[in-house]
Amino acid sequence: MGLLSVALTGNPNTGKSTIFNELTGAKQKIGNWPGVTVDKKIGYINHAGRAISVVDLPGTYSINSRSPEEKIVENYLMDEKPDIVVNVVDAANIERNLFLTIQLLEQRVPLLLDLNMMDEAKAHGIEISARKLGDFLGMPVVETVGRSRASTQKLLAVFTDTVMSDYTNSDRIEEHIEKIDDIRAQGLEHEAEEEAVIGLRYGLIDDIMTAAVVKGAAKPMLSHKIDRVLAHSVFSLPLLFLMIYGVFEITFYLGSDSRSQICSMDFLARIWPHG
Amino acid sequence: MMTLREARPGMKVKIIALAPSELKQRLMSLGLIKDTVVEVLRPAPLGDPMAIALRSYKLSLRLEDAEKIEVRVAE
Repeated sequence: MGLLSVALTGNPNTGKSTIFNELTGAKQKIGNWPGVTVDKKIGYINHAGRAISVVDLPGTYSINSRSPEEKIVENYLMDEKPDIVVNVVDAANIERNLFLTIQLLEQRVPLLLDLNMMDEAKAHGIEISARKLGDFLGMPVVETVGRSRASTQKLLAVFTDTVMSDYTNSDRIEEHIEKIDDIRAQGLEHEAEEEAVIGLRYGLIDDIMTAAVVKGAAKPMLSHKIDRVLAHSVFSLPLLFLMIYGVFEITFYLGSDSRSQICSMDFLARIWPHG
Repeated sequence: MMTLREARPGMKVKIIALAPSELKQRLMSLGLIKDTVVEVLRPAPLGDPMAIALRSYKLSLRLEDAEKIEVRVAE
């Protein structure tokens, strides 16, 4: 058996690069903001006697060739035809993430859905049935929690054990693709056509959400509470200045302490490269 | 005619149409399409951009872009 090629796709900030690093042991730069991966990265692993290549593609919300990232993703999938295309989904934001999933299904690539950050989804009160989701779409679904050995092992096992050709789009998805073809055949103006197609996709997302996802009451997030104070229209700027003043005070309080062993010039001289 | 820019925090509005712009297709991909209900959350501290919630996620939108989205109050 030859090299098994796997490509990671998904929205920005869904944990693709974390999974990539866990899988391949690479030290790829990861940031908690979107757009960290701007070009594709490749790594290799062996699992259960199979050599696997993993490609980390940039995060995109859609594939319409509207930005360089989207072009990289689209071209890679179309030209390289990987054996498995993993769609990493942030389970806590599944509704928004499904847009790309549907676009990928429309391209009929061998798609594997990875429901990542399942722990966060639960904290948000979101219950997703992986089985129902898989049945509805006609694709294998795995649940992971990002940085964990168990998740990595699970993914590797799915890569080597899953026969992708056993899965084909469900009737519901094929029906959706037919409807899109019908719209495109009408020769509408580009924007009207796009609006109709996007409307169809969101209609399908609504159906998927009804079929496989239960949204309960979310626990109020700490960050929202902090935001409410820090981003308040009246208090935010005084708070900002107060904090900057605090930093200023701390700096000069510590800096002016004559008993302090670390004099700033001394310290600089010590760490400055010689020569 | 009301635009999303004019909608006040706490209001729930329904999208009627998007005026042509560079961003139109991107906004549509993000779910800002006709008949979608959008909740206005709050403006940023300096008034621009504004935060909105739709389809179980939040989006920050420049006022000049919000101005291009025609809405009406959703019941």
